[in-house]
Amino acid sequence: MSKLQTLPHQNMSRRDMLRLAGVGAAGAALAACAAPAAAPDSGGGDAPAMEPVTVIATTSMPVNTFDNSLERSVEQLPEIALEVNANGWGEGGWDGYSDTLLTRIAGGEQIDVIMIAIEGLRLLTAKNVLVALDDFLAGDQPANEILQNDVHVTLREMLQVDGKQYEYPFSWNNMVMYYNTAIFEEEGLDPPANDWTWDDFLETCLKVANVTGGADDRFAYSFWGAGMFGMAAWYFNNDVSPLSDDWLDSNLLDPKVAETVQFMADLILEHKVAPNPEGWDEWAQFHAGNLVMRTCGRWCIGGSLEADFTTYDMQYQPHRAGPLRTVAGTDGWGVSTSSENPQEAWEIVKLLSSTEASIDMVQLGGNIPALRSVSELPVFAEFGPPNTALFYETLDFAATVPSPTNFNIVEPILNRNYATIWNGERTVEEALQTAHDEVQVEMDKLKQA
Amino acid sequence: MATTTGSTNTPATVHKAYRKSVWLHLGEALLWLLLICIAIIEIAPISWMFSTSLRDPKNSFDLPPDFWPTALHWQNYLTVINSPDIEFMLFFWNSLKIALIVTGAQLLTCSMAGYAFGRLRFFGRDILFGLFLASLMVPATVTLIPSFIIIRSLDLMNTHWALILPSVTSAFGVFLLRQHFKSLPEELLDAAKIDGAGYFRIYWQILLPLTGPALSALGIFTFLASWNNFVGPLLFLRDWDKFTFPIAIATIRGYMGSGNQSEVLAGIMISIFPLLVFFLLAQRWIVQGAAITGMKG
Amino acid sequence: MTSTALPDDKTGGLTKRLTGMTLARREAWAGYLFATPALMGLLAFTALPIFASLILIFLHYDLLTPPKWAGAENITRLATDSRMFKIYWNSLRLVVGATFLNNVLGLLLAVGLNRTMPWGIRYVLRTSIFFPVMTTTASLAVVWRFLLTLDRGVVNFLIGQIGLDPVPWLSSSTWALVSAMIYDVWKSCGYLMVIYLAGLQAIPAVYYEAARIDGAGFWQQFRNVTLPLISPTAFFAIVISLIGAFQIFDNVWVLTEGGPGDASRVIAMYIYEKAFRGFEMGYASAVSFTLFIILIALTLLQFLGARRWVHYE
Repeated sequence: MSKLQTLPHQNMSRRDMLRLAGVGAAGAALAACAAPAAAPDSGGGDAPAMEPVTVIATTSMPVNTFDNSLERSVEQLPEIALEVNANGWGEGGWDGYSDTLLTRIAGGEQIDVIMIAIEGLRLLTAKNVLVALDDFLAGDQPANEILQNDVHVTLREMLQVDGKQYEYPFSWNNMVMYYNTAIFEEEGLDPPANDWTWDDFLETCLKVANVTGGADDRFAYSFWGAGMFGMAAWYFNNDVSPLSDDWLDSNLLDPKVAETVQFMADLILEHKVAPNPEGWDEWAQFHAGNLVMRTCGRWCIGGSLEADFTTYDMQYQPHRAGPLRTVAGTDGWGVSTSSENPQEAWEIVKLLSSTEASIDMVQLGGNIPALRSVSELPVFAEFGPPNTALFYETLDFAATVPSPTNFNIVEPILNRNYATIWNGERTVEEALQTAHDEVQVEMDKLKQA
Repeated sequence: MATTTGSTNTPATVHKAYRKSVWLHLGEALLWLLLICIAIIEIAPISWMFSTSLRDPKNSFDLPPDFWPTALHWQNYLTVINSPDIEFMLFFWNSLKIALIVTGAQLLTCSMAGYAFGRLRFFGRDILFGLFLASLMVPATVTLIPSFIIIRSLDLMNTHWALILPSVTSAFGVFLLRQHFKSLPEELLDAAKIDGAGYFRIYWQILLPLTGPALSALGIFTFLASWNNFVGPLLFLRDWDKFTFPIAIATIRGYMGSGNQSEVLAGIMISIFPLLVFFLLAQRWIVQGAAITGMKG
Repeated sequence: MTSTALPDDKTGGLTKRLTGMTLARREAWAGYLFATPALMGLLAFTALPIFASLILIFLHYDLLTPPKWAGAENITRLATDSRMFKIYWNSLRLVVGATFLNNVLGLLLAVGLNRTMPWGIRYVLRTSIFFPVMTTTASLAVVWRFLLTLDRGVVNFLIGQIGLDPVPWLSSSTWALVSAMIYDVWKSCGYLMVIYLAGLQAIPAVYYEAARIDGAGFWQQFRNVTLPLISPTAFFAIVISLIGAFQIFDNVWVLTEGGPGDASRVIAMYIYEKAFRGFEMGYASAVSFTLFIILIALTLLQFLGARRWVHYE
């Protein structure tokens, strides 16, 4: 019964929602007019007073994540006509996302509410695109209380620049090892322990890989080969980072960086248990059983839900040296300096970071909710493999993904140079030296500015 | 003697003819081989796409690949079509509208300029035409940055005008039609001039009807270029309901970037399907039209 | 505007012998009028942008904050931009390779199709070879990316079946550019074929008959009749395929994203990235201007060179 009732909403397009929003607002306006005046024929009295204010929010997530939020906005915020659009075309991670966003803003487009993650946050604040939320928070005790009490301090502080809160945390991610439980069973392997090392990992790889160049090829592990987040998942477990701790210098010549990259390159080139990342569709191959392990955040649950793939579980990334650390990045919603209706935009920020919006995201297999209370709901464990609790546990030793102001420049430099390692054309040392030279130039520019 | 020469001659010519025909046959055979191989290579990726778009998403990457549908998982198409945020009819209409307007505008402006440069003498003609030729070589990328600023200052960002206005004329079209106008026999005009026909009448009533094939060629290729334009919409269009097919497809790819390759391919199939139908129906025209772009008279 | 030329011209026709000069002037006016719409388009969306980018060269501008005067900084930076030189080298190889292959293959296919054969076979061959021309570059590049993947890729699987080693189509510096070239040839050779086909069909059959009577064989006919008579077509085909090759952008963008490293990055992509990813409009304009100058020079060369080998009847 209830399923039948929700069905039309699920099939409703965003446009329908907007139309509905308009009708809803008009209805509310009518009601508002009708109540005091009790006019039997409200000819033209309803129009001007309650013209809904359009607020446009842009996101990196699939826009259907917010379908229910649109519906709620109609009920809860009738004075606002909310629109959520997708920014970017799935290419280039947060660096591409920030660039597209800035191009849109430069094009004079109306964007009131902006989703951005730590990676792009400093670029946006440097370009003066985001409003500091502190004034809103000061005047909004309930929202502030949730931020202080239900959001982990690490997540909260990640979205601050110079002590000011620029984004209201919505979700976050870390990186864990996904593995195919059916293949592990088939090969007689125990599930990896939570303190497994790089050696354990390599041993597992060699056991499960079967690469001969035929139709039945099975790769043990694959990684993106690019992206600050994906690489940091490995660097941090070797007690090193590609950038200095203040994100103002390159740290690529640290021998531990080379050691890490060499380990990963060997998976492809020497042990041949990992494919070259170029053109490799990790998601599909994992679901098809052609790939046994992969590193990803919680959002990878979404694809598996969609594909009805269930024979997998997860474990911490294998560890090598130093204290246990996991990479983490947080995104949130903020208000654009170009918004003509910042107060309404703030209302939308709260709506889109609410418990309900978080639950919607969890059910679609998206990121880890920033609200601890949501991660403690049964729904969080329900939508995910047995070991899902892992995600929230890692928060206490989470370290922030390196996110300099020029992230959108640094990440492509790194990606370019990594690629020539994975294909075996340059040694790790050569490629890292080039990358270091290029990154350091950009870092020096940043320090001068 | 007569008989001997005859008898020595005959085998020689036969032999020569035989040798010639061997070469001829070898050449023929090679050409056939080339044609067939290329035809297979050209069509294989598309048939692979079609076959894979009909696979169960779980098997989309299974090897060996299919070049002929072995599964009929039409649900992939339904998923794409029913996906709440992908309104194919709207994208179709947007693409069609822009392409038609651009095509109409180009046919008019290019044929007029082509007539001027091809048939009329005026001071600076060759320099002006040289400008067109030069701009033929200006890649869109060179003008991309200032165009962005121009479109922004005209307040046309996120409108279809941003795609239409820069394309109302094309150096290629001017070049093509100028060549064509130039190749038409002078006698046609002499007769018209004796009749006292003015320039506009010569253009509109005498020459334009004769350029029909060239016009349809330009029309088809302008239409295709507009239909397939990628960078323009990427930079200028933001709203979902203004999107054209190519970026809608690119968006689906990101949107469904969860490894469901079969659905991505189904989306691409849907986007090329109108072209396929159009092509199969109007193949003669299109091929002739394409041909016209490369020849004169 | 144009319609006023009509009555004017009627009198012009009548008084043609008397006033030759005015006729010339009238013709000139008509010329300008007819060229105006296209000329305005050219000015607004080609000439003006080029002029604007000339100004941008001297600015630091990120689109968001007000521009700052840069002096010659953007220009001097060009000389030290080793990435740019490498990327130009890529573009050059891609353009030359794709133009050459497209034209040779296009001509051969056209010669192949320009013979008597059953209608059905011709239809099928022509349809298959031409259809990719009609498809969207970016979408089909997505397909080719799936096909060309190194590990578990379709093409490598197929060549594995005949005992060849897998080829790192997208991930090796040598092959990435070749893959972009293959994709472009796959996509465009049908267009060139059709253009050459029309050129061939326009050659009057009497020439071949004459050559055959003179005892010319297949190759001699091709060499002495086909090639000279098709040279205007070839000139046109080469010009447009060169232009097409310089425009290659979405092809590489989807196929290899310019990688590995910069191995398949082309200059159009570099300009786009400098402009809309690094937000260095001034420097991006400087790079785009070098491209502009090179292309102008190249066009001039082509038209000068064409006099030597293009035979107009």
